[in-house]
Amino acid sequence: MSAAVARWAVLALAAVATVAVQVSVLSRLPLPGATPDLVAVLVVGVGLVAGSSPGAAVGFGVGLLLDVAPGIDGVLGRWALCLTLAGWVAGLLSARVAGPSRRAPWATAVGVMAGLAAATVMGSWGLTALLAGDARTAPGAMQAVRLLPTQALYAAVLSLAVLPALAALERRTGPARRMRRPRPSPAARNPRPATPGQRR
Amino acid sequence: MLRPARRTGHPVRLLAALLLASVTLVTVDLQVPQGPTAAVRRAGSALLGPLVRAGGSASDAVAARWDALARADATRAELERLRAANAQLRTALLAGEDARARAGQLDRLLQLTGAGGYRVVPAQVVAVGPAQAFRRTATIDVGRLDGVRRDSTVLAGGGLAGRVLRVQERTSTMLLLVDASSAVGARLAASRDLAVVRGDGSGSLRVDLLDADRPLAAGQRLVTFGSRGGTPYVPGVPIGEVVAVDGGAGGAAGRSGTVRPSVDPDRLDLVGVVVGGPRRDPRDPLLPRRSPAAG
Repeated sequence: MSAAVARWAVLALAAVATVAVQVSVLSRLPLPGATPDLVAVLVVGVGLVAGSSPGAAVGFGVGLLLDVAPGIDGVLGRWALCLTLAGWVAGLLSARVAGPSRRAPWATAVGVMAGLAAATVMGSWGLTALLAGDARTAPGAMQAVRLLPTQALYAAVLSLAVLPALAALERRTGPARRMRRPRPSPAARNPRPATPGQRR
Repeated sequence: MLRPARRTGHPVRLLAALLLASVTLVTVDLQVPQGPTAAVRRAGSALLGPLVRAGGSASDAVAARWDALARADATRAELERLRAANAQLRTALLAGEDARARAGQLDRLLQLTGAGGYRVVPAQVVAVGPAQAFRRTATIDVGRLDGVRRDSTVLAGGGLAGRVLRVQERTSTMLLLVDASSAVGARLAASRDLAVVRGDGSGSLRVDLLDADRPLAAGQRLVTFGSRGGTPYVPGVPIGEVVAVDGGAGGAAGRSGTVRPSVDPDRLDLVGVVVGGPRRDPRDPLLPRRSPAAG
């Protein structure tokens, strides 16, 4: 139980810190193209490492924080919607690329990260254009497409730091650990019993 | 390192609930802007405001380092040689440069606003929206307690920076001039022709002359036309310089063009918010003194 509390406490702290760093530091770096998107990397990373439900939950929470963050103005719920979907899809893709028992190689994870981070740009663009009301103030599609290469590149670079951290967090506090903990017998060291009927 | 998604509970129900919550927020915020979502925003800025202010000062240091790094690329070898000798001096030098740059910005700001007799609160940009938000906004560290009101004009050293969108107690969110939803009534400084300047969302401005028969040429400078009561825009503030005029066929040929803003939107740092005007209209534009009413 306490592992689950620790897991969500760490994720909540990471979410607040990530949003603060995103608007006060990363968005002000004079870099070409997109802004390095630590927020999207965190959400997609949680989805990849922990699955769809944690991904969607963290996506919603972080998105809501980003919606109300200083420096950002726009319709409330826009980022929440966009990042909920991103976290969910990341979880689905991790199930797909990892298969039922294998673990996906790092390169695949970084590739999925870059692709999904780019997808959030298109999602944000689509929602902004949809909600703009006035066609003249809506951002052009080219404006979004121009951001895609740099967004994918920055996300891939950031994920090299974020994915191992999230994987470590999941190893220590994730559900797999909790399942193992109450059974100190030698059989419990193996997380997957050979046959389901091996109960005591 | 990746594990498959676990089938616990009803994940699809969770997704549906979260999506429904998001869509509800969007709908409520669009329909009732001053309703419950305003409280959510206040809670958010109360939580993130102090963190972001701390991060903002750290970010100034990061940006300074970053610039130094980018410049040093060509002369890296020489830099390595000099680094040992300069180690002690560097800290003092950076601090001095920073102080001089800030003093210079403040000087230009005061020079700009002193002419018109406007009262201006200096402010620091502490947070900026990411490019992928498709909305050019920034948060500054002055708010209602400093006299800032909604739609106050925001100036920077070179001219107009934007206007205030939202005011909290100690911070405000401003809309940058280059945002796609920003539109400013303008005059050509020399010919007094009226025009509308709009942001294109990416970093430059578009100008449309209102009178189809008047000429527009590269090099012309634009100043604000001014709004009633000085909000959102006080008159006479430099906006930018026309750099290209649309040619070719079409109704808009020759009377619309591209404007380079006087204030670089990517490097906003120290700004000033107009919190009070003179009792009477000064009829005195805020153009910098060095080039009075140049066109």
